[in-house]
Amino acid sequence: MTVLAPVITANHVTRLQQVFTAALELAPDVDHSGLAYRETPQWDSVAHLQLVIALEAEFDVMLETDDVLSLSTFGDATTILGRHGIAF
Amino acid sequence: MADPAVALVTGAARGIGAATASRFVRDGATVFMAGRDIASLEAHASTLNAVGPGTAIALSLDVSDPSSIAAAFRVVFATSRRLDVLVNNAGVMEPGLIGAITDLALARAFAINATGSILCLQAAARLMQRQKHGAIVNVSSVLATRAAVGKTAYAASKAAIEAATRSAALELAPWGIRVNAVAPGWIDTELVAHLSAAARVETQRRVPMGRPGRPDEVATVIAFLASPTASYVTGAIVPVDGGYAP
Repeated sequence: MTVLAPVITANHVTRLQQVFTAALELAPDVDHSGLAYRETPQWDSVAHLQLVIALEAEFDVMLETDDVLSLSTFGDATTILGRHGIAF
Repeated sequence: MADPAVALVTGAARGIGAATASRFVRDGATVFMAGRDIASLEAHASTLNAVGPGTAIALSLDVSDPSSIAAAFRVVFATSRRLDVLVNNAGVMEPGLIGAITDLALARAFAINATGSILCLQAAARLMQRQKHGAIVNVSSVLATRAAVGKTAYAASKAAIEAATRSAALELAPWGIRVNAVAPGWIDTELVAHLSAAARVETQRRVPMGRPGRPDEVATVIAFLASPTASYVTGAIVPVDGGYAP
């Protein structure tokens, strides 16, 4: 795939945290760095797709199937979005 | 369809796909006419655009190639940021009596008629999920549920897409996405051009309406299933077969 030039916006981390919190229905004070797919109780397979759709909508990107399958932590999301031109 | 609607039709260069694209453009939609024969698609799109009121866009797509599917949907996303309708029409018929079905023919039938359609469905659903609405129409065949000599590979692949239609309809309903299929019978397209004169007489004998269907007669049903008029229809397999009885 084509790697886009990063678009750096200061509030990307905040927006990403908000997406995770809303999509996974997390407590407002959750530590996002500790989230893990299938280990965090709220992050099951159904919530995973809700999260993917929310990420795509928030950052106006279209993730690849490989992206969807490799998204397992908050850090993964920053890496994946980085490949789509969203810098953190 | 939604207004303004964006649709993608696979196998749009000819037959049912071309008729469906024509219908959508007449209805005012933006239609990605997808297929391998880009020259033919561009020519057809140009003809449709001269009449409007919708817009036709030729799109290179080989549904047997997953990377081509991903690339095509990236174009749709980059161009329109949305997709309201997918018509999974691309298909091949690989006739062959049992004992003469090659593994390559079987793989090709499933790669195009089943696997490719499911991958397109998945890619379309991802775009539609963010909108929380959409309509997917798969093109099956009367042979998915009725027997015919020499059509084992084709019939099995079409049965697969009917099963996928029902499962996808269930899974995507909460997202506001409807998934249906049409099951054409004997339609006058290149797909049945290989039939001998005797086979055509025999096929016609089995159609109570006494004639082959026209591609536009299938397109009309596809357009209905894709439209808000069919807002409470999902998981349905609609025959368009002139009453075909095996």
